Amino acid sequence: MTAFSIQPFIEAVHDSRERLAALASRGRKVLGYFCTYTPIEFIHAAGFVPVRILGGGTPIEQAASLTPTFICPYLRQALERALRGEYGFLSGVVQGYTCDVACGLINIWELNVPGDLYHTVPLPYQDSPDARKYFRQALRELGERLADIGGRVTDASLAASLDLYGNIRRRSLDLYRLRSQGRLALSAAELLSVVQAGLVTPPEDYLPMLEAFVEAAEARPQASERGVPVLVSGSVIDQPWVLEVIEASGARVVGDDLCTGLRAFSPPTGRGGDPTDRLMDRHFRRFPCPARMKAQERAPLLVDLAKGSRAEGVIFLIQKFCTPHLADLPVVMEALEAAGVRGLTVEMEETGLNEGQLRTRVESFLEMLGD
Amino acid sequence: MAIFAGVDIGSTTGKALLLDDKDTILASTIMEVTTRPEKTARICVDAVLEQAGIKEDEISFMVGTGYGRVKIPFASDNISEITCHASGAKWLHPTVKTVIDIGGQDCKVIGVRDDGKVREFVMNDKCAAGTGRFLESQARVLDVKIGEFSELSKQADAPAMISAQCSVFAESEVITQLNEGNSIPNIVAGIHVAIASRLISLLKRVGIEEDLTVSGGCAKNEGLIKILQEKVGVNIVMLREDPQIVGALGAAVLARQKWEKKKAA
Repeated sequence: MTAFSIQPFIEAVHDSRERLAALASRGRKVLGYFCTYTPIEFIHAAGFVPVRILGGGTPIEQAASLTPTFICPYLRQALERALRGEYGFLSGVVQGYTCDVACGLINIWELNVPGDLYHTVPLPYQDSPDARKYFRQALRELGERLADIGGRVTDASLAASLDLYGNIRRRSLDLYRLRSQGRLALSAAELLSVVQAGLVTPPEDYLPMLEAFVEAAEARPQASERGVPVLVSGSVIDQPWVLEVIEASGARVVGDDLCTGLRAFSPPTGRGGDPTDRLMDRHFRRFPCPARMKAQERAPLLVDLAKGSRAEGVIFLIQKFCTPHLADLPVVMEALEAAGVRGLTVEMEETGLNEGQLRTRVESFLEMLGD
Repeated sequence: MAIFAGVDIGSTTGKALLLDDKDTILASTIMEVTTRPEKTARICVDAVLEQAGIKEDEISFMVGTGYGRVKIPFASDNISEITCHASGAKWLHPTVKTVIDIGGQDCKVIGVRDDGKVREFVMNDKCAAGTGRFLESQARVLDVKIGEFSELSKQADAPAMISAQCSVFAESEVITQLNEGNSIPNIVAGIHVAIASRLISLLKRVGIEEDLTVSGGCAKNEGLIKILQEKVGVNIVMLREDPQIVGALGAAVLARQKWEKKKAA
């Protein structure tokens, strides 16, 4: 049996640039994406490796002249890394249309970073026969663009990619389940490292790593019940130390509403007759990002998530200037308060967070909850 | 007699206070911080022990607070300064509902529940404007002592307009005002107005509930409090003890609660 260790995942994140560059140099094209609503199974089915583009807390220098200051640090940092050549292994970027900034950024990226393919996939919001027809056409267009750079999507390849990603999501949800049952001796930061590795590793390589890890975790149940149970909500968290500070302050992250977390996995698959139907079905049944659903509809889902995970509070870790998340906050906070769950908002800045101030906020919040 | 200690290691000053089980403040001290929080805490605690004429092992429970709270190895526990300021203010003034803490590095507005716990809080944590550091930097530009700010502000006839939200740009504005010949009292009052405006925005987020009080080192600046009071429009209750030791006092009050809980368990 494989040892219960997150080291392979930490290494996978650490060495991802070299590994992906080596893969690209051997002729396998790697395509980047910003948002998890991007139909990555489709990209993978075409024979390419989809890799989530992360910001990594990179200080902004070159990206400052190309982007305004009032967009989220994540995307500015991502562009900075590209301009520094850190994404040289990418053959381009394919982005599902979610927030305006991500969709604007792909154009700036295309103008400044050489690549073979830059494409935005329009994504419908509401499920209906017409929306599915539209979405199917959008996917067909994506297929044509992928074919332009040597890819080919067939029903069989798409079905295989859907199965592969479905299994990754199922195994990831297993980790969340074990953790919420107090049977997984893994900090939130460590869990994030496991998830992060999946964003930058070819899925066929990642799944066996994850399966072995889940198997080892299930065989080695350990209670981890210390700390005030909280839910973390936001978008991209790509620096595990933020979660480390939260847990070191006395919290125990029992669940999340992050696109570098639960939101990327739930549900694992979609239903349908043909593979495209399955992909579209999952899209419409995703646990929603605020960019994809009205606050009034999303708020009860978040309340249920918090209640279901027995969180006593929700810590919102929000990218500064993230309009979809910030605009939802008043409605979501009101719904949480009505359900007896308190919230704390922390904005993630370009210059990072001051650890001392983050600790003070989180500790004060937990002390407030602890009465 | 049981004795409880509160040690508040902030960004600019360290404070310690001893409280006994008859609710008497036995000793308190305030000093400039050293470069090491544990050293500052040691000096503070030694000072109050000497004042009270007691030994360290006579302290039943010690709570550390402030930014250096996790670096006090001899404290029994540590609690965030937000909780401690709420507790200290409540102890001094039982009908308090809102506390404005103007510290060296940040300012906070804390809503206090009837039981002395925190109802809600907001922090200005992203820049120095509205904090003691802001006042210090402006004092340097004006070449006056920070302790003179209060009196100078009271002499103003037309506070200067300092519009910048950033302390660095505010400094440029202060220099411009000086170059234009505006008086020092008017500029100082203008700086106080700028801080008060910043505090109002925090206050509105938490909600102003009376009684309202101020804590932290800057609360000693009467000129600032006068302008703040005019802007807030409600009476600001001044605490009967030095506002700078409210955090340490709250820590000592909470030390007692923790000790009693431990004893009962």
